[in-house]
Parts: sequence; C-alpha cells; structure tokens
Amino acid sequence: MTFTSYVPVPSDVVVLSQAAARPQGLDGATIGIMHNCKKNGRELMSAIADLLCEEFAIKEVVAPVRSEGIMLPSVAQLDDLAAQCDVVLSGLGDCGSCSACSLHVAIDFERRGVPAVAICTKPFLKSSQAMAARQGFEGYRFVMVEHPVSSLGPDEIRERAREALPQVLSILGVDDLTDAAQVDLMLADLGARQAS
Amino acid sequence: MFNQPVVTTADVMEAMELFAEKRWTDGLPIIPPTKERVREFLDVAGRDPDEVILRVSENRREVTVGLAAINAVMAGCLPAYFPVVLAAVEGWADERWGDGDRTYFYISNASTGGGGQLLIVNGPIRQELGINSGVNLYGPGNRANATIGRAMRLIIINALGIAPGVLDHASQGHPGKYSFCIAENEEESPWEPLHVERGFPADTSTVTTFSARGPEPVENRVSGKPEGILYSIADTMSRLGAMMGMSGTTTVVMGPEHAGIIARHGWSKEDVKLFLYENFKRPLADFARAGMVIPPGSPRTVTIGGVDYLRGGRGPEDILLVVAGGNNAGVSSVITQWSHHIPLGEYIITPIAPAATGAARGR
Repeated sequence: MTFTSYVPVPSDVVVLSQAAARPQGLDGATIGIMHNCKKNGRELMSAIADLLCEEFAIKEVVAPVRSEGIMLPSVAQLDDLAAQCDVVLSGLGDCGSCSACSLHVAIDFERRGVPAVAICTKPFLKSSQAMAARQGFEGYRFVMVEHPVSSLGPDEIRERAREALPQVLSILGVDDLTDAAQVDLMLADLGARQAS
Repeated sequence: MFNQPVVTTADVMEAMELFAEKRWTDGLPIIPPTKERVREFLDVAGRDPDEVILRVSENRREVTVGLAAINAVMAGCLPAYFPVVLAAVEGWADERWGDGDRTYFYISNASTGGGGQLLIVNGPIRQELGINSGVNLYGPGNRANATIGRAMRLIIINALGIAPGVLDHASQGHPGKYSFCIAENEEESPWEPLHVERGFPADTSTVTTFSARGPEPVENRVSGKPEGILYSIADTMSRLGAMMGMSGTTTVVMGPEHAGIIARHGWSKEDVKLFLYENFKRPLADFARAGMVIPPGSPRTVTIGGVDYLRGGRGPEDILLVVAGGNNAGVSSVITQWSHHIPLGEYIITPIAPAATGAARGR
C-alpha cells in the first residue's frame, strides 16, 4: 500500500549565473559604495575604502549612494553606479532582511559586469548564503565581520574595517597575502562556520 | 490539471515524518496533502491552481492558488476556510503594502524584528465558519482561528521559502508566528466594525492583514472613564521597545468592556483615535536614557509644555481600532506593527470571495 502527498514547495529551477570577471589589481580602480538604511553601513564601507586607498593607488572612491528603497536600490541607481565603478561594496547586512538584500545588491552588480563585495555580520551567514543561492550564485563569497556594527563608535568601525580587509582582497582576487594573513583568513572562516 | 510533484510513502505516518524531516512544517505535525484533499480545496476556490496570487521579487518566489491549497490542507483547515486564506494572501500582495516599496513585505517576514502576520476577519463569514472573536481570542480551542492562521505561516515557509534559519532570522519572534487569526466582536462592539468604517457593506466578509508584534495586554479593570482606559492603552503603545521611530499604524484590540464604558460616555471611534494619537508619544529624554537618541527636529517630534516628544503615529488614522475578546473583564491589547508600512489610514482590507461550490460548509 502506498500513500501519495503533494510536495508543498515550488519546483522552480534556479538558473545558475556567473560572477563578473575579477579585477586585474586595484591600482587605478574606481570604488563605489551602495548602502541601505542600516546604521554605520556607510561608515564601515567608507572605512574599508580608505584602507583600500592605503593598499593601492585607487583612482577614486565615488560618494556613497543610499538605496532609494528601504533595502534595495532602483534600477537607475544600479546602472548609474555600475557605469562609474570597477568594484562596488554593498551593505550593511546585519539583520535577517538586510543581509539577504546586501547579497541581492552585490549580485545585481555582478550581473552588470562589476565585481562586488557584500558586507554582512556573522550571525547572518545562512540568510546571505540562502539569498545568493536563490539568485543563482550558489557559493558566492561575501565578507563576514563581527556583530554588532550598529552600536560601534568610529574607532571600533575602523577596527571592523581592518577585520574585513583580507576578506575583501581575497574575494576580489587581488590579495597578495602573506602566510600569516592567509592563516588569519582561514581562522576567520573557520570561526564563522562554527558559529553558524 | 495540477502538475505539482508528489512524494510517495508507505502510509500517513511516514508522510508526516517525511514532511518534518524535510522541514516543510512549523514544528507541529501536519496533515499530509493528498490529491483528493487538495482537490476539495481547489473546488471551493474555483480558480486555476497555477494562478499566481503573490510575488516576492526579493527572493524570487511566488504563491499560487495550488501551493496555498496544499499548505492550507497541511495546516488542518477545512475546505470552507480556504477563501479566507486566499483573501489574506491577496492582502499580502496589495500594492499599498510598503507604500511603494514592496521590500517592506519581505522584511516583515525575514528580519530579526520577528513580526508575525495578523489576520482580522469581519462580516458574516465569522458565523458561517465559526471564527472566534470572543473569549480566548488569541488562545487555543478554535479550529478555524488555529488552522487559518497556521496556513499563513506554512505558506510563508514553504511557498515563499522564508523559513526559520534560512531566510527568516527573527531574533526571538513571538508565538503569533505559529498562528495569528482573530475576528472582530462586531456583536458586542458599540461602534461600527472595521470593514464598515472603511466603506465595506456590513454583509461583506473581509480579512485585514497586518504584520505585527505579539499582543501587549492592557489590564485596566478599575477605570470607569474613557480618559483613564485610553491613557493606559496609550501608555502601552508608547513603550520604549516599540520602535516608535518607524512611522506606522498600531492596532488596538479593545475588549468589549472597555469599549462599552467609553461609548456610554458618548465617545465615538474617532474620539478614541484622536485621544490615542495625542497620547501615543514619549519624551525624547526617555529615549536618550535608553541610548536610543532621537535628534530634536526629527520627523514626528513635537514640543508640548516645554517637553520634546516623539509621536508614535502620523495622525489619528494610524490607530487601527477593533473590538474583540470576551466581554468579561477590563482587558484590551495593543499590537504594534512590524514593517507594516502603509499610507495613512489605508488599512489592507480584502474582501473574501464566496466559496465556488455550494456544498462547502464550515462546521
């Protein structure tokens, strides 16, 4: 005897997509920042951009753009920033919806041929991964920093930016990591996986 | 022809275990959605099972009539309840939700804020289906309330894929995430019901959708005056943890005893809303003490008697007022919105279509 039930979830097929080509180094690059309404998102990504300027001969950091929607930019905003930039930072992903949306935005840039790095906090690994998979970017890498960010002061924000930097460089493929920095990065990844 | 895939198991119990293992449940056992049972629900709806009734673009998911039926069966609904479920999903799809930014709907289900999806039912369907509006309003014991509310959560988890730990990252959430369906106690209210207030005929059945925190009780068993009762309700509305900085509507579920006292003093619903709006405010100094600094001059700040306040509502219409609960004590409740961004006074009220088959009976 058998018993038959309908599957309660949709059987959609997610079309796998490809990320934009990685930049050939960051000297001469224009960096963009797309931030949502979350507190300290703009500040943290600006601090990361400052560190990139210390490491590389960055041509320009475009003034941070605040998404028109509460979490998502308009198509015009995406097109405009994509046209100006070689790399975009997207964030802040420090809650359930904004982490998923920060990935959504980063992937919107990847689809426009611009490599992007989403900045999220560690508790939201699963949400960020789930959104990336829904968008056809299973396994897409993004930055995870310690939570919280919204209650940090300026010095602490700079410290978070330093925590993010090796991941940003690795994701963009422009890292010339020393052995010690590689180990740091592996330990950060391991810590995040154990926490999830 | 409904082409949804199926799973085969040895028996009912194995099906229930499979669904639990696949995390297709809310943690409670479900009724396995057989073809026959789902067919009954689709017949009541009289609609194409592949018809899309809600799209969530953020994570590229849709709710179809068929998926809604499957999950309503799983929740333990009777076929006659299905039109309420469909109307509620249509409420979620209402373009006014988000006031031009539909991401608010995604946020209401995914955010650490952890809101639930409240349903308020009005009209004759309450009697037809036995939807409770009285004693134990939020509590257990009523099949229609329990299962209709549950169907909504299963639709969010399974059809929309906004599941706990996956895309739903509520820090704590609240028990209304299991089921959160009430009806207005129109019979014991001294005023016109919510749907009539908003222009629907009394004999039209409607469901109001509202993404929300859990109910905050207001026990005031001693005040015999409108001002006293309403001041205690406004106080609960104005609690520091209510995120008053997010403009929006607050639902007040007033118990019939409170409503009766207030109405006997000649107060109308409008009088009530005005009083609540004026008293739904908190000194900025209180926020500062909690480390939640609100700069003077921010939207909805006002100075009264030399004290700077933040108002919680944009106007009296930001009070969504219904009368519900048992007429047995001076107990009301406040339900604060969570990411329920709507134009002022534009409560999301959706008419419930009658069952397509005359054979559907609710009891």
